Amino acid sequence: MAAEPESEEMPTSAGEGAGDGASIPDTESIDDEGYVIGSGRAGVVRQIDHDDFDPIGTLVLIAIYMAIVGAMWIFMYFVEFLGGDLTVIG
Amino acid sequence: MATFVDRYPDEAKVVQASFAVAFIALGIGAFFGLIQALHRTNILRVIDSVDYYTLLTAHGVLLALVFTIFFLVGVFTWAIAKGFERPLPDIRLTWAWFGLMTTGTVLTAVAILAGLVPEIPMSADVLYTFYAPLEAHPAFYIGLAMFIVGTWMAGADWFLAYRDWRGDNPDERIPLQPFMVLTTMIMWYVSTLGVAVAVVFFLIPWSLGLIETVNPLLTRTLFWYFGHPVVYFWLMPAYLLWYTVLPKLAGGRLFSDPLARVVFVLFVLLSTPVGIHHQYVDPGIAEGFKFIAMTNTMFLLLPSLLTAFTVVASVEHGARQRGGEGYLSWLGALPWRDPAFAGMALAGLMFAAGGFSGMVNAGMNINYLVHNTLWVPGHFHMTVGTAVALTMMAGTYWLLPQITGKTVYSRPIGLFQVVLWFIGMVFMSNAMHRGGLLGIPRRTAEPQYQNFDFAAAVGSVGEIRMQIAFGGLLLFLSVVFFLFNVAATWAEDRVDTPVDDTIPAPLSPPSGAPLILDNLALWTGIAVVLVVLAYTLPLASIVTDSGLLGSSPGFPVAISLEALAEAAASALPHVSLDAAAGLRPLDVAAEAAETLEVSR
Amino acid sequence: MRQLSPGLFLVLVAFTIPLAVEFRTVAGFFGFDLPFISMILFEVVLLAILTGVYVLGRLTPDEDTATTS
Repeated sequence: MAAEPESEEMPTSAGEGAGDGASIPDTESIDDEGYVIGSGRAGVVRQIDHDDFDPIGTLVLIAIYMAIVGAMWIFMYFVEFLGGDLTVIG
Repeated sequence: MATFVDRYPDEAKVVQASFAVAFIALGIGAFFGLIQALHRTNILRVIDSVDYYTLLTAHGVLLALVFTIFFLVGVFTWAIAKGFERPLPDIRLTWAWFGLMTTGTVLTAVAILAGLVPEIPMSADVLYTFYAPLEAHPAFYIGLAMFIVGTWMAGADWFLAYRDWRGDNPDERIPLQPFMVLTTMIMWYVSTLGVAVAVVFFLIPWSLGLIETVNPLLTRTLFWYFGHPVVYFWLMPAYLLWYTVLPKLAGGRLFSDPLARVVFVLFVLLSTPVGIHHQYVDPGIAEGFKFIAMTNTMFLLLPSLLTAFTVVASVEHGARQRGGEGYLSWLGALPWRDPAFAGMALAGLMFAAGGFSGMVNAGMNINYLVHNTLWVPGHFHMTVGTAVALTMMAGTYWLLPQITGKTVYSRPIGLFQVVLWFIGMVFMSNAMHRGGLLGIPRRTAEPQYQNFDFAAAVGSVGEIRMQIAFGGLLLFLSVVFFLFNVAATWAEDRVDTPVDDTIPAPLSPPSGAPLILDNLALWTGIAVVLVVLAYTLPLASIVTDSGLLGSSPGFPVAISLEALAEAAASALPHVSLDAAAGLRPLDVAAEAAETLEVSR
Repeated sequence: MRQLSPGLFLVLVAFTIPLAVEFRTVAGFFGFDLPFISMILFEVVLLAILTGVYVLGRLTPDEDTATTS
C-alpha cells in the first residue's frame, strides 16, 4: 500500500529518538514519579520506518483472536444446538 | 510550548463545557446503574420496582446519549480546530448548538426524573429505546428533538470550518482527524433522519393528543433505522482516538492513513442499512428483509477487522520503537503505566470480546437464543459501556490537560480507575452474558418467577447475580475515582506544558490514499442509495399493512399501573384470604396495590 | 528475571480475573463441575505466580531492562 517512500515524509512533530516536546521529562526509571501522561514517545530507543516494520506481533494476536472465535463457535454449536433444551426468549 | 487552550481559547471553552455536561451525566447515570444492578439482583432494593424503569430510562438516556454525544462534540470540536489549524468560523454558532443541546438534555432529563415524584404529572418511563406504544410526556420528545437539532448544527459548524479551510487549501488532502469528523457527521445526518421523522411527525403529535394512534411497528422501525448507526456515532470518537492518539501514546505512529480513511468511508456506507437486525423477532417484517439486514451487518465486520489490524499494528510499532522484541513479549514494552494508553488498550481488548457476542446477536438464527435476554445488555456494556466509555475516560487524561492547560491531578489514581473499570466490567458483563444464555430477561426489575427456576449448566444463578452486583459496584467506584480525578485536575493551576500534545505523522501517509476517498459527496450519494434499497420495501409493507397512523393508543406507564392496581384492589374483597393464599398472581397484585398506595 | 513496572503488574492482575472466572466454565464444558471456591483458589494461585514474577524481577533485574516500562 505504500505508494511513496515514507522517510522523506517525516513530519517535524515526529522528532528524533527520545523526543518530541523538549520540556517533557524523559523518565527512564521504572519507578516513575515524574511520568507525564502521553509521553510514551519519550521511551523510544530506535526509529522504525515503514519499510523496516514487520507487524508480526499483530499477526500473532489476530491469529489468537481468530482461534478463540473459532473455538467459541464450535463450543456454541455443542451447547446451544445439541446440548440444551429450548431457550426462553421473547 | 503552547497547547490547545493557548492557541484556541474560545474553542477550548466550548470543549470544556461539553466535557462538563458529559461528566455530570456520567456521574448521575452511573449512580442509577449501581441502584439497578443491586435492585435486579435482589441484593439491595432501595427503590420501588415501579421506579426501576424510570431509573433505567435515565441510565440509558444519560449515558448512551448525553455522556457519549457531549463527549463526542467536545472531541470533534477539538479535532476540527486542531486538524484544520484554525479557529471555528463563528464561535457564536458553536455556543448556539451547545446551548440548544444542553437545553434539550435538561428538558428530557426533567421529564424522565419527574417520574420519581408522584406529585408531578409527568413521566417518561419509555426506556432509551423510546418507540411506541410506550408513551412519554411531550417534554421528553421535544427535548430529544432539540438535542438532535443541536448535533445537526454542530455538524454544520464543522462543515463550515471545512469550507473555509478548503478555500485556502484547494489541493490538499483533508487532514485525517477532520476527515473522520466529517464522515461521521455524514453518517449521522443520514441516520438521524429516521428518528427525526418518528419524533416530529408521530411521537410528538401523539403525546400532545393531536393524533389518537400510531403505527408502533413504523415508529420501531424508524427508531432502529437510527438505533444502529447511533452505536457507530458513539464508536467513531473512540475510533478517532484509537487511530490518531493511541499510536502516539504507545510511542509509535499510525500504521496507515489510507486504511483509516477506508474504514470511516465504509462506516458511512454500511452503518444505516442494517437497523432491521434489531428487529429479528418483530412480526410484520418479512424474513427476507431481515436476511438482507443480516448480510449488510456481516459486511460491517470488514471495517472492524481492518481497525483491529491497523490499530494493533500501530501499537506494535510503538512497542518496537520502545525496544520491544519477540512475538508476544513486545506487549510488555508498552507504556502500561500511562492511564490514557492502558485504558484505551483495555477498551480495545474488551471490544474484541464484544465483537464476538455481537456476531451472535447479528446472526439471525442464533439471535433467537439470546433475543431480549440479559445477554444483550452484557453485549452493549462491553461495546458502548467499555470500548467507548473507557476510551473516552482514558482519552480524557490526555485531552483534559490540552483544553484546560492543567496537568492531570493523579496518574496512579487514573491508572487504578481504568483497570478497575475493566475488572468491574469483566464481572458484570460476563455474568450478564451467561445469565442471558439461561434465558434471564433484560429490562426487568424483578427477574424472579414463581414456580420457575433458571437452570444453570455451570455454577448457579445466585453466583451470576452476585457477579453482576459486584461488577456494578466496581464500575460505580471507578466512575467516582474518575470524576474525582477530573475535578481535582480542573481545580489545579495552569502550567506551561501540561502534556505532550503532538501527533506524529502516519507511517503510510495520506498521499498514498486514492483521491476518491476524499470525495465526500460521492460517498454520501452511495450511502443514500444503499439506505433506499434496504428500507423502501420494508417501510412500504409496514405502512400498507396498518397505515401511517396505525391503530395503537398510547400506554403511559404510570396510568396503566394505577389502573392495574385499582382493578386488583377492587377484586380483593371478593376473594377470601384462604383462597388467595394458594393463588400466587393475586398475591402479587395485592402487594402491588399496597406498594402503590404507600408510594402515592 | 524480567522486571515488571507497577503499571504492567496492575494490568496483568486485571487479566487474571477473566481467566479465573471462565476457568470453571471451561472445566464444566469438559464435564468437571468445580465448586465456587475453586474459582477463588485459582485466582489466588494466579496472583501468587504474578506476585512472584514481580518480586523476583525486582530482586534480580536483567541488565538491559532499564528502558522497558
